[in-house]
Amino acid sequence: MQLLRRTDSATGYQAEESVWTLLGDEEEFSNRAESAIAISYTRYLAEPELWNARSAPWTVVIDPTAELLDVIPELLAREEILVAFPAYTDGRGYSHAATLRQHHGYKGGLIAIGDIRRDQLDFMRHSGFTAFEVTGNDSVADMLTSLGELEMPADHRLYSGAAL
Amino acid sequence: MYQYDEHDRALLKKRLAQFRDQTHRYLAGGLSADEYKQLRLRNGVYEQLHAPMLRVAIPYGMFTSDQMRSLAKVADEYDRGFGHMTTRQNMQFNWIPLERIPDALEELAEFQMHAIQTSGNCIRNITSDPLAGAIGDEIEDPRPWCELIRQWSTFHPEFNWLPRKFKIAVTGARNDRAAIEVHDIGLRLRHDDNGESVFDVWVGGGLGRTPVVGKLLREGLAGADLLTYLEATLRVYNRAGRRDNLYKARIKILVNALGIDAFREQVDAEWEVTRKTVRTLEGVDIDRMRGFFAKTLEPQNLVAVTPADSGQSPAYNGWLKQNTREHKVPGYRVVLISLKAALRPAGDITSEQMRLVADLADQYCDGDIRSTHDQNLVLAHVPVQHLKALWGALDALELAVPNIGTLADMIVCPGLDFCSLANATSISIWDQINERFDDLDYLHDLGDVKVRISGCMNACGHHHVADIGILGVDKKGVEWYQLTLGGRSTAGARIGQRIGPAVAKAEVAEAVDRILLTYTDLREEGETFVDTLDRVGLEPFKERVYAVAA
Repeated sequence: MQLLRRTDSATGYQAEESVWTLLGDEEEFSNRAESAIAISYTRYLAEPELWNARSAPWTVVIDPTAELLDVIPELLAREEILVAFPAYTDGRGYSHAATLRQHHGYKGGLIAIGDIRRDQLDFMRHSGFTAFEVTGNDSVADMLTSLGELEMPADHRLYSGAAL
Repeated sequence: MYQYDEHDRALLKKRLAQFRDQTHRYLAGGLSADEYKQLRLRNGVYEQLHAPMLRVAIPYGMFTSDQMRSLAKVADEYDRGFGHMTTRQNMQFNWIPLERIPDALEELAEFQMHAIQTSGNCIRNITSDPLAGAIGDEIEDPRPWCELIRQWSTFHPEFNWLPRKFKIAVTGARNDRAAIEVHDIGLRLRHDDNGESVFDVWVGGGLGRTPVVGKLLREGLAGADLLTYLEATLRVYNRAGRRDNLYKARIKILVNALGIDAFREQVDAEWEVTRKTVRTLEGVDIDRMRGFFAKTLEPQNLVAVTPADSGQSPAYNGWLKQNTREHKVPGYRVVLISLKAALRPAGDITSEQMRLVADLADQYCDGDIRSTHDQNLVLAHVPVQHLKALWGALDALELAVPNIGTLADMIVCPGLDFCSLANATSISIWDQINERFDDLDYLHDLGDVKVRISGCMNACGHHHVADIGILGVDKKGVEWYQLTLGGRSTAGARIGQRIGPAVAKAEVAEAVDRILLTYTDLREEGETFVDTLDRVGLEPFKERVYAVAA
């Protein structure tokens, strides 16, 4: 999976290969013991002890139906969390990002995956996402062009996309 | 009124550039029709039956003479010389070529106008009381709060892809002229015992296929918490609202499914989160915003102005009585400009009329113009000594028909003449009723009887909340019309009841006539239409409507 990820550099974003391997809910993972694995939040909740004990990197994919008001601390300890957009018209992922950031004070990376479109990147960025899957819908160059098209006034007290 | 600062201007410019690029990509084949649809909707562009339609936002129904002139320019140079006022206080252009829309928007942007979020599944234009700041029954001017909500909701990153569209209305008066109980969220601004601004919050009202009166979600919400509370409510809806069925996706369905108490619990839990964020309003935010709307009107020398003013023409007196309202400051009147002359569709206004209204607003009202929920315009602060001249100028362009608040002051959706969703025509029924009821004396005797016409069950004509609601339906390619009685959108809103089987298109005015005759025959002294209906029930109306003609 290729990502466009925010960097500290002046250029802002760079494309890179993601470390995460998505693991389906029915998929065996023993043969990938050492790789960085992303499992569904549902799969995590079914066997939390198993995953908490894992020494190799792991994280979860938050799907639209996830309930995040009462998450467990191990989730918030992840360096990055993936949020799935099965369809770009389904806006639940934005609220999940806002909940992780605002409610839980999550400071790690938030990666938007799935049906990612260049014209939505600013809305995702303003909701707290730090990286976006490069899906083939749009080229990296086009995604970079779109990022920042709708820059919000810095420190504005009212516009909701500001101050993030 | 609110003046854009450099942030607002910059943001509008960026949005325009973005939409221009999106349109260019679509026309060049780089963006699919489906994806472009979602993008253009959020910029107010629909594909209608014959041409694209552009819906320009008029935030809380308030605009200036310069803005009106820019709308007139767009009407002339990009459309067919007219615009159409909507029930959400916006203006629509019906014949605008898609490739020219970015240019039209650029013209409007010069005057701080746009079409952002006037459609799509996002937070729509905020609507409010068109008589704000002028009328005596006002507790507090709602417009500063509307502007705060406008900025908060514009490009709100979290709420650009809601399950369905979301409409917010605000009133600050004792009499609700903003129909807050039939909105996704309705806000009633009032003062608490300490004189502080607070809101009663209604949720889950709406018309459409499933008409529902809103439920009281919270009483006495502190003004400082307005945005944090809205954010919590929207977040609950965004997460839990249905996305599997377009017709079950509005917040009213969620509120009804959960029950208002369970819904409130979820909002409160979320509010614990949102009220700790940066969005809590401070005194300085609201004070600054109030500064934009504060208007000091010096009481004028009292010139005698009464509808019975002898020595004036009956036509002028009739207009004064029907189309003007008492102003809170002595020596001023609130003037309603009727867009219901029978010669053109309800709510339509020509570019010539737009320019005249703009000039008159400059001359007599400090450039201040309002659009109303029932598709008319308002000059809110007219010194009484200018009323006669104003009337004369309006009358010359058919804008002074004394029919405000009468049967002829119908809300009418564009219907099958324009709309790709419609099942039946609305304008034909408007014409038919106008033709039948052309006696103004009779209309004045009937009093405030609201007739509203929708060309399909999406109910843009608000027929559910009319004394007499008319809904167009399609039966095997033939237009039929269902009638409902006794709805209203003011405080204590209620949905009209169906009177019986739909009537044939040619019979609609006759049916309305019979309903009105039933009312005038049975009404007791001082009774409104709904009073009489409530006392006698549907049956007498039904009997008369469906009686075979003798």
